[in-house]
Amino acid sequence: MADADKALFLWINSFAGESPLFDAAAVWLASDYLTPVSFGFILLGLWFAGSDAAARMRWQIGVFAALTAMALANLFVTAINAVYARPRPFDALDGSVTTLFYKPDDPSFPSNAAAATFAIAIAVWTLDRRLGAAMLAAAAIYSAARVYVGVHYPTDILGGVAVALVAVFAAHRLRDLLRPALTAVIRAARAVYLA
Amino acid sequence: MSSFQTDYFILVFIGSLGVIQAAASMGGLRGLLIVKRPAAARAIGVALAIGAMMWFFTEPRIINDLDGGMNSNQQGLTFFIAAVCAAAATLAASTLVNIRMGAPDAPDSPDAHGARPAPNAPDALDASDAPLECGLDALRSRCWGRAVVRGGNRGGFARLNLGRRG
Repeated sequence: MADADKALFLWINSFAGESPLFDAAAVWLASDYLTPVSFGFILLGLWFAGSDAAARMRWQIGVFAALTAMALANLFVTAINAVYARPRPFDALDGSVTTLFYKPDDPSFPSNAAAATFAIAIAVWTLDRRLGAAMLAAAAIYSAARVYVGVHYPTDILGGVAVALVAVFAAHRLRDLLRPALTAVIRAARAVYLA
Repeated sequence: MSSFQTDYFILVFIGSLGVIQAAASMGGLRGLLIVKRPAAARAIGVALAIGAMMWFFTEPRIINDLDGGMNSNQQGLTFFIAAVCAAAATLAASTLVNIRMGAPDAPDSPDAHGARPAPNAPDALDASDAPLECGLDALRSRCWGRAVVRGGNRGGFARLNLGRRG
């Protein structure tokens, strides 16, 4: 499994450095700011979405659930990193990796970027299949780009997706537990015409 | 705040202004629009969000947080503050632009015709809230500032049981 993972990584990474245009696109797509900020904008837009108050309440609780899932995903990744610190591919496979990105100093597995973005995308997917599917595609491209630029193995991404699934499940359980508090927060925001 | 963080703040602030305009125009929240025509507000909103992104990436942004970039916690906090600032700026600007919207003597005012939401209106949180428009739906027909004043005058806060002790 580990050998297959490394072989797949090296095959994907072997294309890096071949085409300046494709490299530039991959670096842009792998950026810490493009997909995360876009997802933040989508969640902000969803706060104001909905044709009536009932629909808006559903979206707004969904925004809370997505943010909770993202926070839980980060927490789970930190916990995993505390017991298992997999070296980054550019450290472990020194000399055979083309690195197009800055070299992060945190552990490789699981991918925090994949965990956070997939957590948000899956949480939105539970509310709206079409928007969620588009966000899942964006998260997949973001994650694939991070493999291409040499900062993650494919299994880091799969680990991130698994963490995201657990985080969304936990966030939904928490959402149900915290629904009265969330509803109270939204009612308070409605009192000042902000929700 | 580093120049990188300032740039990130500007990105999120301008982008959030655009997202709120686009979302408000699509949701019919005319009281939140900074330009009167919803189609124009939507176009400007999308242009602001995309333009902010394009501006941000005109410079190299592949920087480790140890070398002047931002870690995820800094990103999250800065995003939240910038989005809240953008929302506050939107409320202030849209109130100024639409100050006449919802005035009792304005021709399109719901108050001018004695209109009220039905008891089972979708923006009613429960039966006791029914007569009072609340939430963002109030901004379909009046600006935010006027909605707050009207809500306060009609006991909107008390009706939502906020601040009740014991």
